[in-house]
Amino acid sequence: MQYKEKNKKYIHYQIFIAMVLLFLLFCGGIGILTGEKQFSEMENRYLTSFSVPHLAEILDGKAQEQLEQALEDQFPWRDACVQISVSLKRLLGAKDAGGVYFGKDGHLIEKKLSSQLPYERYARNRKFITAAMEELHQQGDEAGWTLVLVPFPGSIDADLLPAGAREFDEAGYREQAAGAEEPDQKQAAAAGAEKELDLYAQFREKREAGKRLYFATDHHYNASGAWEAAQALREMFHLPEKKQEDFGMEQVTDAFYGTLYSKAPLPEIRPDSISIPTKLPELSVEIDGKPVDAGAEPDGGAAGAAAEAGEAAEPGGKAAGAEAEAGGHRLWQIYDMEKLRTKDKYAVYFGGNYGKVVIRKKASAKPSARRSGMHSGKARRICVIKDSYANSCVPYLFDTESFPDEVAELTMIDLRYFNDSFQELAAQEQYDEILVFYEMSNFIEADYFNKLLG
Amino acid sequence: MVFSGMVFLGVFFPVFLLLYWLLPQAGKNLWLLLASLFFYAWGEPVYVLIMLFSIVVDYTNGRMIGYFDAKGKHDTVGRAFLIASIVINIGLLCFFKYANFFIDSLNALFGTGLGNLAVSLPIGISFYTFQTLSYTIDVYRGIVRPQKNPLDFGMFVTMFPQLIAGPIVRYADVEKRLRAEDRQCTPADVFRGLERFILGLGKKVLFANLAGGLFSELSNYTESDRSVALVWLAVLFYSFQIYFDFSGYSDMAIGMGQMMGFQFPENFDHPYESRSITEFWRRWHMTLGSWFREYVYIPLGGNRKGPLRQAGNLFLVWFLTGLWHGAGWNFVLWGLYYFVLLFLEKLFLKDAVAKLPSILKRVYTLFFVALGWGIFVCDDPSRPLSWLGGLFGIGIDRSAGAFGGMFGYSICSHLPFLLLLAVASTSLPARLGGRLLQMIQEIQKNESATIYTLKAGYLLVVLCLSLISIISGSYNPFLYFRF
Repeated sequence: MQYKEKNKKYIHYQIFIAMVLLFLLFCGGIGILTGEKQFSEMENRYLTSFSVPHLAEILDGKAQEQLEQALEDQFPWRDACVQISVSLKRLLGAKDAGGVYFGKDGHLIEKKLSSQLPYERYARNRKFITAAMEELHQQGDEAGWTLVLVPFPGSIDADLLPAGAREFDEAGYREQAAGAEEPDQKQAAAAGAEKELDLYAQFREKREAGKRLYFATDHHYNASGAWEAAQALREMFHLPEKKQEDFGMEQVTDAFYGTLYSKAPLPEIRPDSISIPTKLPELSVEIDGKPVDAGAEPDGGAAGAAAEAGEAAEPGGKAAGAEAEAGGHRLWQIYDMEKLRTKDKYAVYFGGNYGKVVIRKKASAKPSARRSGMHSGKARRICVIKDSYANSCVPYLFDTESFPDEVAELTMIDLRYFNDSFQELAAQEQYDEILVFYEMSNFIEADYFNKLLG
Repeated sequence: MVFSGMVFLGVFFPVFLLLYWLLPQAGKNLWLLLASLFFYAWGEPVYVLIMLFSIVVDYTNGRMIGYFDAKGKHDTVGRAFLIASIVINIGLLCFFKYANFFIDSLNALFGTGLGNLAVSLPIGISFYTFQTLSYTIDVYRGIVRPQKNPLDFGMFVTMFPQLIAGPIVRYADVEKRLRAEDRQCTPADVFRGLERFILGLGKKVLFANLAGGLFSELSNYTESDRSVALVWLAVLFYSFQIYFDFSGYSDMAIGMGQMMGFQFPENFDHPYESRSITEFWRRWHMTLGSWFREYVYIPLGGNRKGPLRQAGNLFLVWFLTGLWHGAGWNFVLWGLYYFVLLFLEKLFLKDAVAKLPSILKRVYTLFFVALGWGIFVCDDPSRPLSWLGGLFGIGIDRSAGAFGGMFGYSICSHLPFLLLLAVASTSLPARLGGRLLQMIQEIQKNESATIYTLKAGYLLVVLCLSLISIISGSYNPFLYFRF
């Protein structure tokens, strides 16, 4: 009797112990049972998966490490765990996570301190640009060089940062660089130094007028920011004055969770929307030397394209499809609409970044181009050494109508993927204008501008 | 294998325990031994050989000492085996842990160009060599009897719960429970063990890991983003990280021991609420302190041979304590720092501090403990004592003032967590919990069910949060499309 009584007293302990152990087993085994996920879109990386190890891998402990990683990577509710974990940290007072500030109004802003981005790196990279230009000029090339640095989001949206949050001193850097150049400015001007298109004041002004120029969840500027940069470029090139609406803006998604959201996935963050200019002239695109034929425009314009993205052959696109497959891409105008189905939606522009992308206005579609080109200068050919900020800006440089000095050909060089000699390319192509187009923090961080030399 | 990873928590731990309980008495120790060897071999399969060697050597030495004791040759042959055991154990430790440190120090001192050895530190060697040493010394002293069953002895050395991070379990602590028959435990004991384990896991994963993350974040702020106050804040987070990490591991070990019927010694007793440095060291890593007292300080004569000799003994003990923590001069300096403080307390400081109000005693203790961590954390030989210097403004950009840089932002962001850590490191939560249970007992008739429900619920929350934290810890956005 007493024994029974005692056992009864223990039963709830046993239930708890069994529950905990089974729960742990469940957490450990669920990843194996639910099958293998190859890729995490949130993190943009391949996940570790389960595999049969070799003896050597077991002996040096690599296989064990891999299994440990796989159990965590393959946990099915991993993204939810991360959301809970970030939310809890914020509940405890944290005002940033994963190098991203929780800004006001659900705005995420990257945290970039001057200790990470010292002025010296900025100055060094500027020197590389000047050196590259001088090297090219010495070969007799006459292209005009312009440095275009899009302001860092944290500098423009400073009012959205949490209290006390710091960023590197972009305004100070710009001033210091301008001051450092002054003494030999005249001499440099004579030699044809690179110009600088200063977007900082313009962006600040727009921001102060209440405009949002950057995505809330991504590190890029949005369509308004891209248009600001484009406007400044158009003015510099003396292209006709236009409004953004003239380019037929169409919203193609309202469910864009960008890279900053990946780093700080708070559950209440609202997604961004992406609008693209659709009223472009007929363009041909060549990626890394291979022509990518633009598929026929789907019915219903860009929005229709977004809806149809990823589905089987587009109407009348059989041949185009085959051709596109050769290059591995299928574009509509300059857009890869399939990307709107993935997490990395900013890649809708050209499908992402490539070493060399050449965009040409199709001459056949515009017979007037050559004729009107006769009475003044020739049509412009531009080279843009760039980061992904350029991708959403350059479409605005192409006008549907034709006139002298219009942009007829634009080559984008992404030095991260471009492995030929830039000097050779530029000497051979004889561009009219060369732009160095980067977002400020990217420009400072870049460690490959030596590729522009020699 | 680490306790805070999914392989241990999701596979090893539940599978091991379920089988352990299902097995008959006769199989339990063998299962524990095999599982422990597997546990150890998981990270470094080759180094399991060193541990097996250590087991064989000390088992033999113990048997031999016992054998020659019986023959009346305690002081001659018995002693020779004791010395052999000490030399081999310390030799192993020196070779694997300190060889390259000695070589580097020689090179630095005499400008010699000796090359380093290609050895890496076998995990837990500092712990298990001390455990086996305690065995042979105690056998020699007649405190424990030599273990005849090699399986039981092997199980004592390899026992996975305390294998890699303590507590340092001396043979005498567990001698009476080595045979499986002697380890009866009720489900209530197992429940208490599991409770201890889960709370230890929470300490490690929720407090230590987060505090560690903040420490490394603050460490990354340099130049104008840094200030003296920021360095202090970083060292504070480090102080909490090391406490919760270490005591969390100890709690998990003690809890797992409890679930199998062992009673491991306590290792931490809320050290950060100590009122003197002397008291701090009675509450911090207690098993290490008592090991050095038992096997170094007292055998050397302790305080029985005059103050000068005592000072010498203390010096040696704290030199070794420092060195035990790692092969680096910062650790030695850290040990000697405590030698100075403790000796000063013995001389006069303790009496002076005793007159202070309680709160000032705590401030005094915490200040010097934090300063100590400022030495401990300087493990980068290329920048010797940079943290300690930083605490006093040396090497810090002072243009923005002592509270400049990222300090304002960081303290605003992390003050709630810092306070949480501070409270959690004291005995206050335990006392409040006790008070709550008492209140429930007074109000409720069927109190045990209510208490059980509350406890179980609380433990499940801690467990779930820990798992969430572990899984999200592997979250690693690799945004190479950064541009």
